Amino acid sequence: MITAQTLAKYLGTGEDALELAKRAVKEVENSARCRCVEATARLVREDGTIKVENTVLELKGNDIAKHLEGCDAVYYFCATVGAEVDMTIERLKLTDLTLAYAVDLCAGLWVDAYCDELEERQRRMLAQKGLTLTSRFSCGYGDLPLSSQADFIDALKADKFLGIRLTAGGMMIPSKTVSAVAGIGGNVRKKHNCDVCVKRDSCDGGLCGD
Amino acid sequence: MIDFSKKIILDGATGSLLTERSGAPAGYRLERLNLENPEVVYSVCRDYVDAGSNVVYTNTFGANPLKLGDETGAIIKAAIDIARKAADGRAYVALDVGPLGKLIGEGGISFEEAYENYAAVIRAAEDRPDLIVIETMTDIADARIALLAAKENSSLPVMLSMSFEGNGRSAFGTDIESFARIISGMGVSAIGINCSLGPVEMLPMARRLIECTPLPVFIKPNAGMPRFENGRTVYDIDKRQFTDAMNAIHALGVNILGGCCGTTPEYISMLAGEIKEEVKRPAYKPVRALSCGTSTVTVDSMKIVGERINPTGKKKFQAALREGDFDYILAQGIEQAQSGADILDVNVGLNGTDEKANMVRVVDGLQKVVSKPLVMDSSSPEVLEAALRRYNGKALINSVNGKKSSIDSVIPLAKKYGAAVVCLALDENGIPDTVEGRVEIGKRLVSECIKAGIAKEDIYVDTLTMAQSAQKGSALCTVGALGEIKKTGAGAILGVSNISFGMPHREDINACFLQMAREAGLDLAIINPSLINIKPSEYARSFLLDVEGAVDAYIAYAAKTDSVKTEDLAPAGAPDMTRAIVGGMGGAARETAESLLRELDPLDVAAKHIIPALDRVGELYESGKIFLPQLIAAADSAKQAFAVLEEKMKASGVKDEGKRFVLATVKGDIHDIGKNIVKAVVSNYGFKVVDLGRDVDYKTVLEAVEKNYPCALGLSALMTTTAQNMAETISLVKEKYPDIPVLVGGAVITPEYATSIGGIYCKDANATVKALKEIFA
Repeated sequence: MITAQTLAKYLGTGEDALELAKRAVKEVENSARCRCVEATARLVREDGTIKVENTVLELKGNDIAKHLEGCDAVYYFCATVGAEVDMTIERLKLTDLTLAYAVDLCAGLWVDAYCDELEERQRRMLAQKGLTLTSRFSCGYGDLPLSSQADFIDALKADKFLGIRLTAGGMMIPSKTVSAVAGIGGNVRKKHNCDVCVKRDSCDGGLCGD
Repeated sequence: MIDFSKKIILDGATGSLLTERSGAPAGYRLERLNLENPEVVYSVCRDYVDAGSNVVYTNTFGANPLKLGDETGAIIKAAIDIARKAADGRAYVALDVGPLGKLIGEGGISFEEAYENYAAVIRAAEDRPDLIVIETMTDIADARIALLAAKENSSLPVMLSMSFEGNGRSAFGTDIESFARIISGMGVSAIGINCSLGPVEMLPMARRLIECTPLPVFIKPNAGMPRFENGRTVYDIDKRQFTDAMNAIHALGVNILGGCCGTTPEYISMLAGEIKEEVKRPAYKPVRALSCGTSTVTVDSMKIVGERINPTGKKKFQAALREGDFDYILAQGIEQAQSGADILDVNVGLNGTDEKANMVRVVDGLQKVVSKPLVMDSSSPEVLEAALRRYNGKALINSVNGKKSSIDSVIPLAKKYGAAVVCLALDENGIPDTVEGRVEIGKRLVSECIKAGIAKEDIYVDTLTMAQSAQKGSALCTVGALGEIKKTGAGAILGVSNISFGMPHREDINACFLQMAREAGLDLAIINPSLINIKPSEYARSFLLDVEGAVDAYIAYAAKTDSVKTEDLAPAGAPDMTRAIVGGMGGAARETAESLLRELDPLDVAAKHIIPALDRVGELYESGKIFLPQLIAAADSAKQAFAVLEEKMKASGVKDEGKRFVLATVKGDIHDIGKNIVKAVVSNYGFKVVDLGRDVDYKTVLEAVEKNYPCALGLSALMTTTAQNMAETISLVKEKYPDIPVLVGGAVITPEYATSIGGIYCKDANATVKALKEIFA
C-alpha cells in the first residue's frame, strides 16, 4: 500500500533511507491487516447542530459545519491496520529503535492510504448516482472534539466489529486507526483541510496528494 | 440446575430488535430501556421464550459503571426482573456481560479498575439469574478479567464466548485454539463463539473449538455479515439459510445454539423446531499445550524454554531489576524468541527488590512484544498468583514441590487459573539421590495434582539436574527418574545447565545431557536456545555416564591439550604432599603424612606441607587450571592426610585450638553443594567445622553459636527467597553476639547484599578460607 520509495521520502535521503524504508515496509506488510466498518446516513440539521440520522453521532464545531456545507448526507467509517502492527512497533522499540521509528511512520501512512482507498471507492459508487463526496474529516481536526471518537465507535459498533478501544485520553487502539466522516452532496468538492491539518507546518503541499 | 451437556436453544439478537422496536438511534445505550421502556425489553425476551429459547439473556450487554455510571445497579436489577417475568418458568435467565469497551493496561484503565467494573456488574445481579454469560469478547484480557470477577463474586455457572473474524482471530489477535486452551481450565461450564460472522463462516471455527476443548461448546452467530444502511445495520441471510447452516454446526456435536446480531424470534423458532436432540460430540483428545494470548505451543516434541529471564548469576540483569530498566529485560525475551525459544521462563526474584511488582511488570511487558507462552517462575505463591492473574494465557507454574506447604499453596493456583504446573522431585527431606526416591515424590505430586482436578497433560515433573562434578551419578539419576516418570503419562521438564556446574566448556556437557534427556522423553528443556545446535562430544557423554577416567579426559579435551597431568600442576620438584593433594591421590597423601610425622609434629605437618598444598590447589582452581571435580578430590586427599594427624594428636593429647566455624544452609534452602564444598576445604585448614546441615532454623543456628562461642559463622543461600532468611538469621545471632563474623555466600548473594545484612561476602570455598585466616590471625 506504501512503497519503500514513498516512505524513504519521509525518512530522508540517500541509500540508507531507502534500505531502512524497505525493511519497514516489509514489517508493515507482514503485520498489517486493514479492516473497516463504514456507513452512509442522512444529516439532520436542527437548532444549529448537525446530527447523523438514526445514530447518536452529533458533529460539533464550526470547522466540520463548514466542511459539510452543501451536504445532505455523510459517509462515515472507522478503519484500522489492526493490533499486530502495534505489537511489531513495541517489539522493535526494544531491539531496533530506528526501524521502530520507520515502521511507525509507515504504518501511519498505511492506514491513511487505506482510508484514501475507501474514500475513492465510495466516491466512485456515489458518482454512479450523480453524487459527489468531500474529502474526509476526523475527530480532532479543527474544533471537532476528539471526544466524539467514542460516538463514532458506538454508532459503527467498531468496538464489536473491529475491536477498537479507547485509551483514557481518548486515543483509539490499535494506534493506527482512523475514524472519519465525509460529506455527500449533489455538487461538493473533494477539498483539503489545510487550515485544520495537523501536518500543515511540515507539508509542502504534497502530503495528501494534492 | 442447567445441564450443559444437553441440547440448549439460546436466544437471538437483543440489540437489533430493541433498536427496531424502540426507535433508539444507533449507538444509544439500549440498557437504559430497562428503566425507560421495560415493556419493549419484556416483549423481546418474551418473544424468544415463545420461540423456544431455553435460555434468555438479560438486556445488560453494555451495562457497566463505565458506560452507565451510578444507574448500573438499578438497570441490571430491572433487566433481571424483566427477563425472569418473560421466562415465566419456561426458560433460564442468563446475566449478559459484554466487554467494557476500554483499553486495559498501559494508556487505558488498570487491571484492577477493569476487575472492579466487572465485579460491580456481577454483584449487582446478586446471583438472581440462573447463570452468567460473558460474551462478544475480542480481547482475551477482558474475557479473563470478567471471568475472574464472575467466579470470585458469584456461585452461578458461567458460559463464555469470544468473537472471531474471518481469519480465525479475534480483533486483538487471539486464535481459537489459544482461546480454548486459556479459558477451558478456568472453571467455565461452556465455551463458545458469537457475533462478528454468520453461521457459514463460523462452521470451521466451531469444528476447531470442539477439537481444542473438553467442555460443551456453544455457537451464536450473526444472521450473516453486516452492512450499514442509513444508520441501520442489516444482515444478509434469512432464517432458512441460517437454520441450515446451524444444523451443520449442530451435526459437529455443538448442542448449545442460538443467534446473535440480526437474528430474530423467527430465526430462533425455526432453529428450535429443527434441533430436536443432542448430537454426540467426538471424544476430546488431550493435548499438552501452553498458550499466550496470540499463539499456542503444542508440546508434541521437545520444546525449548528460554532460561535467560532470570537474575541468578547475571550482574547486568540484576542491575536492570534494581534500576527498573525493564526494556533490557524485555529485550532478553525478544532475543530468545528470535533465537528459537518456544516458551519463556520468567524469574525476577532478587533480594532487595519487589519481586511481585517486578513480575507483574515484566509479564505485562512481555505480552506486548513476544508471542510466546510464559513460565511463571517463583518460589513465592503470592508472586505466582499475581503473575497468573495478569497473564492472558495458559501459563506453566514453576513450581510446586513435595513439601506440604508447597502442595497446599501452589496446586490450587494452577487449578484456579487454568495453568499447567511443574512438580519438583524434592520434599521436606531434600532431594533424593536415587532414581526411586525422585520417582516416588514425582508420582506423589502427580496424584496430588490430579486429585485437585488438574489434567494429566498439564503436569510436568522435574527430576532435578544436579552438578555432575560434585556428585557422581547425577546425570544418570536425573535421566533415569525422568524415564520412569514418563511411563506414568506425566510430562517431563528439566533445567539443563546445572549439570555442568564447575566444569570447563559447559555447553558441550549441557548439549550432551540434553540429548540424553531427550532420548528419555524430555518434553520441556529449560536452556539457552542456541544449545540445540551444539553437537556434543563423546568426552562429555563419557563424563555423564561416569565412565572410569572420563573426568580427566573431559577436562583435558576441554582445555584443548592432550592431557592435564599432575606433572603440569605440581612439577616433579614439588613436595610430595603437594603432588599427592593436587593429584587427588588420597592414599599417597596419607602415606606422605605418616612419613612426615616421623620427623615433624602434627602442627608442623599441617602448616608446612598440607596447607601449602591446599593453597596451591586454590591457586590452580582460581586460575582455571583445575575444575570442581579436581578441587573436591584434592580436598578429600587432604582430609585423609589430616585424619592421620588427628589420630596422632588424640594420642598425644593436643588440644582443639578453638578455631570453630559454624556452618549452615539457611532455613528454606536445600541446595547445599556449595556449603559442603566449603566444609571440605575449610576443615583442611585446621578449622573445626560445626555443620548444621541445610534448611536450618534461625534458632538452631543461634543455639549452635552459643554452644561453640567464640566462633565464626558461615551461611549459604541459593534462592532469592531464602536470602531473606539469611538476613533474619544474621539479625537474630547479632542481637546476642554483635561481634561475631558471619561469612555468607551462595548463587544469589552479592557483595552489596552481604554488606547490607551484616555479612562478609565469600565468593567460594577459597575466599572463605582466606577470610577465616584473617579472622583468626
